[in-house]
Amino acid sequence: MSPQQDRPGLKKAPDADVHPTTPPTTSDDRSLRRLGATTGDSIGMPDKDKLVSLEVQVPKSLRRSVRNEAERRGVTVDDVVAEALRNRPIH
Amino acid sequence: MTVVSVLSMKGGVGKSTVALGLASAAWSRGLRTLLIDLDPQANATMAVDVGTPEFTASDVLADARPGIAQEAIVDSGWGPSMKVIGSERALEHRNVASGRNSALRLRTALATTPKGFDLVLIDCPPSLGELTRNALSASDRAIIVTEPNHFATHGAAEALEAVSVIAATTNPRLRAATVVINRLRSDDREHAFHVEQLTLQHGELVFPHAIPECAGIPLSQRAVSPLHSWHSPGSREVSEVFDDLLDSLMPAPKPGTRDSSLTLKRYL
Repeated sequence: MSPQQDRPGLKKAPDADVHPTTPPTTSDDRSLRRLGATTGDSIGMPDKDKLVSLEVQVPKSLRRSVRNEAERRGVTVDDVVAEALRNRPIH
Repeated sequence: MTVVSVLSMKGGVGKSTVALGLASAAWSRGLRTLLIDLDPQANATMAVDVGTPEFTASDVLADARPGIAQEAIVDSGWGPSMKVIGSERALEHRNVASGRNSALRLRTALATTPKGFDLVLIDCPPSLGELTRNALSASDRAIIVTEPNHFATHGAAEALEAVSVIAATTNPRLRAATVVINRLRSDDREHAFHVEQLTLQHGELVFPHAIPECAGIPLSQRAVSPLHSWHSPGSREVSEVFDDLLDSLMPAPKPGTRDSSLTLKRYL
């Protein structure tokens, strides 16, 4: 069964390697990590990059789609957008 | 093409066994069959000898573009007439609703699947969650599997209600379900009691031939072989029940009439 020519083929789901019993990552978890990142009793490893705001205008339907994906995967909208930007093709 | 979901709310009653038995009956007739394993336990995937497929039903449902399911179809060890969309543990992630029309993702993904299949069989997980909703929303027929015991018959009633809800909402072409009694022991009075109760409660929805308990079924599954290729008297008897069940789903002319030795009439 060959993929159709005019569109990207099927890919593995992003959560294919995530065990179903793994708790979802929430924004609260990340906030907690950030708060503790500069202390000796930090809960997680400090992030490599500082988190900053990026305000963009996108179609409403796209925002809805991103929110739905975030809800389905149990992550934040920030995580979905950051992942998409990180994986963008570099020309 | 007929699309059939095999479901039950209760686990361990033999959904995969019935799905595989129907697949075996179709295999023995040379029907071009697609088996879709929607159970994250992936037992049906194991039983048709497909190894570890690159893409599974989990990936298909996550993508859900029209026709994308055909890219996850793989060959089985049963021969060229039997194709498979396999399962994996991660399919459990798809058992929750995600966005609008969440229950139609499988139907959409199958939308432009080539018409080359005579039969599509969907093996559901033991729940009435989003995977089962997707299966029923994509199906023409539903088979509800039960054992003749108290808890299983209660689960069968719940599954029948689920079929009615889907038929009244997302899939009007879904016909009334057939209840199949699995693992019947002919000398067990408790089984006879529950067969009678099931027939009283659900009438003609109960398939008139029960599947007897048979050692050949797990043996053939372990050997990743169709039941119809397993030659023992018990296996032949069970194979005939699956032939009858397949006839009820997609009638086909057959020479002579079968003398099925184990029918519900013996208990009524």
